Amino acid sequence: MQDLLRIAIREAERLGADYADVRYMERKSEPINMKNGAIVSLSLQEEQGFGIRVMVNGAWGFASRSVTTETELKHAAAEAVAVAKAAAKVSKSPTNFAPLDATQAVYRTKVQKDPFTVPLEDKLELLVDVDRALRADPAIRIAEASLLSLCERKWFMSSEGSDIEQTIVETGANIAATAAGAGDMQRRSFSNYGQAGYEFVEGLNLKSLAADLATEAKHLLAADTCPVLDTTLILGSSQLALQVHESCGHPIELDRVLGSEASFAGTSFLALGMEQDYRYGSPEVTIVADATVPGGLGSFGYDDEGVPAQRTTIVDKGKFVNFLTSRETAPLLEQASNGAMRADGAMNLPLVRMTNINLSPGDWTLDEIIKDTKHGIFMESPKSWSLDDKRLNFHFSTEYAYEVKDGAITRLLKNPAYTDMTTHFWPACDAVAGKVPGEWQLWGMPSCAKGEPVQIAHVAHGAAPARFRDVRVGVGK
Amino acid sequence: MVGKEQAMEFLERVLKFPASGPLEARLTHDRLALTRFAASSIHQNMVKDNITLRLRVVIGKKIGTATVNSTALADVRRALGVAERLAKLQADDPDFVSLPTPTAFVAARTFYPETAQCSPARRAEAVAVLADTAAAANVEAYGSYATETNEIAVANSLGVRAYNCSTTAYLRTVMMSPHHQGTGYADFLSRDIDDINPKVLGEEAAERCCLGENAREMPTGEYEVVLTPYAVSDMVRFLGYLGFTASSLQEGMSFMAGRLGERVTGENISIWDDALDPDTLNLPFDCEGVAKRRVSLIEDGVAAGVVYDSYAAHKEGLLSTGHASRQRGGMPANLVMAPGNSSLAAMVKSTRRGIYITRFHYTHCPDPVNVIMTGTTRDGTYFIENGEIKYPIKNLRLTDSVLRVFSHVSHISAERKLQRDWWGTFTSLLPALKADKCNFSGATTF
Repeated sequence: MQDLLRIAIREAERLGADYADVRYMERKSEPINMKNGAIVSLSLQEEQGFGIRVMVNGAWGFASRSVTTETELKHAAAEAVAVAKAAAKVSKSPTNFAPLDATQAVYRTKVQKDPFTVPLEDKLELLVDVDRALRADPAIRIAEASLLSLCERKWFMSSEGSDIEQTIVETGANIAATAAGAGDMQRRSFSNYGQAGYEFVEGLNLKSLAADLATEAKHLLAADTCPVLDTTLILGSSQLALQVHESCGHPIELDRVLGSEASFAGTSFLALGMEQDYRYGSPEVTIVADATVPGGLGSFGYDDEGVPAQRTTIVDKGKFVNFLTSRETAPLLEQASNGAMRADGAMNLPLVRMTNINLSPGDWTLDEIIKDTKHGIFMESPKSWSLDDKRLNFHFSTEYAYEVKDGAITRLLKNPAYTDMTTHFWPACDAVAGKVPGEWQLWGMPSCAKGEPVQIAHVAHGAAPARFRDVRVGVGK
Repeated sequence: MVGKEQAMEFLERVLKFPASGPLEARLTHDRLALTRFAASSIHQNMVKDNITLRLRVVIGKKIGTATVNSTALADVRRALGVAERLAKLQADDPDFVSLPTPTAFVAARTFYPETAQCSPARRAEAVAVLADTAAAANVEAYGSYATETNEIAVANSLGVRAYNCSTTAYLRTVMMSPHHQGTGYADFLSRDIDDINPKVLGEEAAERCCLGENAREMPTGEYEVVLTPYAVSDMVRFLGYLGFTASSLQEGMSFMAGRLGERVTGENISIWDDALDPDTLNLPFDCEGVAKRRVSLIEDGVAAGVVYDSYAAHKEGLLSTGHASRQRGGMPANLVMAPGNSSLAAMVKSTRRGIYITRFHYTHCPDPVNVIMTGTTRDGTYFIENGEIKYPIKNLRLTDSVLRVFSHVSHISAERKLQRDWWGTFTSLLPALKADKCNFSGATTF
């Protein structure tokens, strides 16, 4: 493969490229979706292809193909150079591309059970068992269960001499129970994905979870509606992971800050220079971008520019200290790239993307937080999310909530929601759990959309429950 | 391009492979050329060429699928083996009846050579026009210019044979003042690139941007709203994917469930799906090769129907309406809202105290059954008082039921625009609307 890919780089250089990199990828995925006991889809999806990125006169060009032959590689190289030359005519200043030492390396996900060698019969049997548990109660109108197995094998080569091969394996599951009754519908779900083999799915205890979810969905039908008030909000781990994703992970992408995503995904309330002295959160809040976490969907050996995976502190005890960067954007901070350029397959351009953006565990336990709260609402499990185009104003709804009164959990609440401003919310965090094992969890999210054409990134977020003061809850049902 | 002859020849060869039951083969070839720009400078420029074959095998009442992005016969043979194996592993699906049988469809003009042949230089020239227009207004241009050529060929063992090639061109821009205090948006989408005028688009966005400087805060609460087609598209989207699909109706999840024949919006609202209308991104058939049919969804405010793919239709003993998509159960693709006789100017003039909304950002639906949407405004939000746009306001968060808002529409424009929603879920032909009641639950600081 490397010899073939080298042809594209040489062709690009021959045609005038100052820099070229080429990525080739083979991706295999096996999604299985079951609804109410019937298989909705069971397929094997295989994708292969390459993309060549070139810089000519300080401007970028990119061309990709699904057919990987010597002829197509040469054609694509020529097309990328032509596209870059056209771009150079409407480019204000040449790209400042941070230097990088050439690397020869291999990275592979540590896998105990290759998900593609686990018999399909076993996976289907698991889904049938989960479906039965979800539908044990007649109040459950819809039961959904899905499994995903994915393997990506990819090569990166550059005109600087890098030659990197990576094999990434992911597995995960999503299950949900929707209960209906008395003119209402309530849903409880669970979803998690990891960079791991089938042992990750086995460790999720899906059958036991399914029974719990069905019971919870049914109970929600009879629950009181979350009241509208300004109160103390305690978020569970999975909801907080999404909160980190939306109101921390996206605004720190430096390409958004620079306006690259302005017309679609939006920009950021952050600006260059704020990494010097901006207070993002309270001293309880420390956030790291860590592409080295074992099992994280945002983990890898090297990003799609050949930069090694790193652990970068983003928010240090409340102080904002860094962005997610690429080789093109990092020089604006007089830094080297912190390795966040990732592409959805080889046929798309790499963009600045999240890796594993984690809220560091604090020195509380969830029990201590509850006991220390006089009045508040505990919310968990994402239902909907919406943010403005600078990632300031947000609105989240969750699947369930509990009222907290005088240091104890009291009644179950349905249709919970909360809304706030990122700049108020994180400074209002006064307690983060994680003191005891199991409270801090890593949540894999294989569905982060960004870019044009839209690319889907697989990212993860670690979080333990945390408390936020003075938040408006119950808005918009 | 693969071309009709070569594509259909290939599918005929695929169908001749020995299979354990009826086989469906769908070949798609997509070529995307895209130029993205920020701060009036091109920062991404690309061409992507992808070919995909999807095989669906039916063994009794079991279905297996496999997808490869290769047309090498060895890959096809292997994919077929995988699809068969996956089918055999399953239990019977009692709701499955059959792959679709042939339907007659009329070939439509969907391909424009100028779009397919658009060069990177032509896209760059358009960006330069936008940059110049922005500079003249002391602002900067951001956005993207995409041209696509999409071929689809479908054949199955029951005689379906279908091929179509289409093009689209899509230019959109956000203009921003130097400190991003004011922003303005405009876009244009067509099958024919010659319909796109970058200068007109740039002037529309620049005007909105300049109007946006020094935005004031606005209290939350209920207001009259004037919604451009950009904004309407994000509201119609929720009706489309949550309510207008056969699967959501059959599962009781649609707001239409149990309400067909009942009033769901104001009687001045009519929405249908019509891929045969040349003013939409028209297509003759769906991804099962079934001819597209016009389907009335809301007629004079009354819930009228939903769209079907073959699976969902056969389940009810019906025929597919030609709305198969990647998700089983049918999905609208060419939503059309009936025009009225008003205009944006008349809507503003009729407003006593209201909000002019250019577009929304990142909307979501906390309550699908009641179609409650929430999302913030962006790129041109203004306060209207006594029939005049008074001043720009800081963006607001709308949280309300789309059905409630559409029950209070007092004006509908005669002019309609082909509009893609923010998410890119649907491309719809939509008018501007004025609604007399709309709730805002929050505000942002810009």
